[in-house]
Amino acid sequence: MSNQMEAMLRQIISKRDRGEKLLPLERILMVLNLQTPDRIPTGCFFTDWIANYYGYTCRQVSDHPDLHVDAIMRFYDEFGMDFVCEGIDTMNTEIEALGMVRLKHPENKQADIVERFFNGEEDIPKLEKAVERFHPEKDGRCPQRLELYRLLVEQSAPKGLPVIAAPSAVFAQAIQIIGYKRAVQWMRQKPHLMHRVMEIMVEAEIKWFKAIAATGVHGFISIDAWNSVPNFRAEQLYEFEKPYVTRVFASVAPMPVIHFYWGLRLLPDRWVEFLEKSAATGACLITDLEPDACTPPSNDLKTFKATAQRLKKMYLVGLKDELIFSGTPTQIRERVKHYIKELYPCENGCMIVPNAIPFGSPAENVRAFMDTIIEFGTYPIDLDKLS
Amino acid sequence: MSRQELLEKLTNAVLVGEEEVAARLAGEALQAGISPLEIIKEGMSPGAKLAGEKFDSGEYFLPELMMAGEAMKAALQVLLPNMTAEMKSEAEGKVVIGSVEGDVHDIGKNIVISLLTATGFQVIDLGIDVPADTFIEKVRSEQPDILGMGAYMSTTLPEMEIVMQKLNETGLREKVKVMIGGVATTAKFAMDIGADGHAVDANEAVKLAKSFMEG
Repeated sequence: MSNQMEAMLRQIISKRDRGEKLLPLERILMVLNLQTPDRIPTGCFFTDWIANYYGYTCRQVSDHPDLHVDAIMRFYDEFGMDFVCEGIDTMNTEIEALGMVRLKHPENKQADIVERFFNGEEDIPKLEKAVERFHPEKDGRCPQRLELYRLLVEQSAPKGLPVIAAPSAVFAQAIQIIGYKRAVQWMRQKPHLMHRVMEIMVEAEIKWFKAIAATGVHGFISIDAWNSVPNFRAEQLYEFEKPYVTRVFASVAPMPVIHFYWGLRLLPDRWVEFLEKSAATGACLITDLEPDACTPPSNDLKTFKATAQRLKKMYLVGLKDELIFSGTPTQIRERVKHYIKELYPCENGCMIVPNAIPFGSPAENVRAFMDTIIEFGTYPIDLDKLS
Repeated sequence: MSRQELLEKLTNAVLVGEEEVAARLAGEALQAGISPLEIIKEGMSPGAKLAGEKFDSGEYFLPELMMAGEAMKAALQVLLPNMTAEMKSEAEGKVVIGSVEGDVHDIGKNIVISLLTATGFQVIDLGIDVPADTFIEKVRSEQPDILGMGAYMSTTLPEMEIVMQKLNETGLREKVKVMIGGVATTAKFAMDIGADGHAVDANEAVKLAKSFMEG
């Protein structure tokens, strides 16, 4: 830890001990350094719900960073979360900028791939050239994303709000470019080709991460929808994902990087091993999310927390998307209380998040989540009150 | 090679996801005089069933299931030109399936199609990003037993509701069973929109389809 960071932490700890309310950035810095702030920090991933809530479409905020910032700042003011990881089209901005896919951009949904320009081994040199030419400040929609981060740094950082950028992850980009079926076939039959693609994509991703870092953001969340069981076997991820993710994160060290995954419950005997491998990539925390139907309720939070503390990492637990979307405020409240109880006393690096807020979720559910965090997640945590 | 050996090898090729081997063995089985339906039922279907069981038990994950599906598809491409209309009418049932409008994900859907076909269903694949009116038009023209819809993002879920409304408005609702699937969907959502069932994975989809046909 640098002297500057030590001094900053001492000040924040003193502020906490005086009973003063911490700024969101201060809370995040505390948990990053495995300290305990004034309450459990929380935040959300992706901003399509936020954009819509404040009257914008996904396209509007994607094309106009100033509108995106407006929506995010109003969300901070109204809901009081500690961080927002921006995300419209986070999974495919880079691959479109590389010219390797054509996207459909619906007015109010995430963009998606409608055509791939990678047809097999013969296109690897084409991919290599595309990455050599890749210039994040100029290509595709990357400039709008970079402008968004500059504006957020300018407008939110002075208010003590962290700016966490949300680039896609190197593995996700590779899978989307070459296609899932080809990735599975190459991993099995031609692993050297899969490794070659990953090597090329690491170069692209490092360029993107560094361009983002230059805008002044505080950290990253590396977005991936493919890096989990059952999409791939754990062994495939250990060979084809983790080593490359490690190199990308190292390129911006010591900036913190959040990296999440799910499917832990599909590895009943090996989920701790999976967490250990994930922690070894250099991500600042380990995560236990319930974002989709593939993951049963994660109830072994004591082992999860113990693993984080052994690995000296933050630990982040996320609510099931479906609960925010179609649950009731009471159900959300009980779920969050359950997490806090299981992670009690939630010391040294705890975060609890609603994950992404699904499109169409009622605002009252988002409020219920936040109200519960404030009521029960303020330190010292009162176990009797939780019961 | 005996008939049984040939079909067992085909079962194994499907199980381990060897596309080329599955296609070659399907061709050899045809040349040996085994009917396409027998090849599907006694050769491919057991492989698909075993792959599904391994997925349920956690031994197989999506890559293995997908490769099994691709092996079945490869074998089916050899068999289908040799299937008469009569053979096709002996199918377990007829299914029209697609990913709803706005959704371009199809991995899960394609595995469902492969498993359903291997189990003896006739499947019409509408593809991805299918508008509600296309679903309705195909239900009207193809008169399937089952309509399957997939949604893999919460943003595309409302499209399923639109399809259900249109089925009601056009008087087609009672003529078809509706099942939904995809990571964005839940059993509760299926109930809320009036679908007949929800499948959490491809295996469940086949079981559900069979249960619909058993009435």
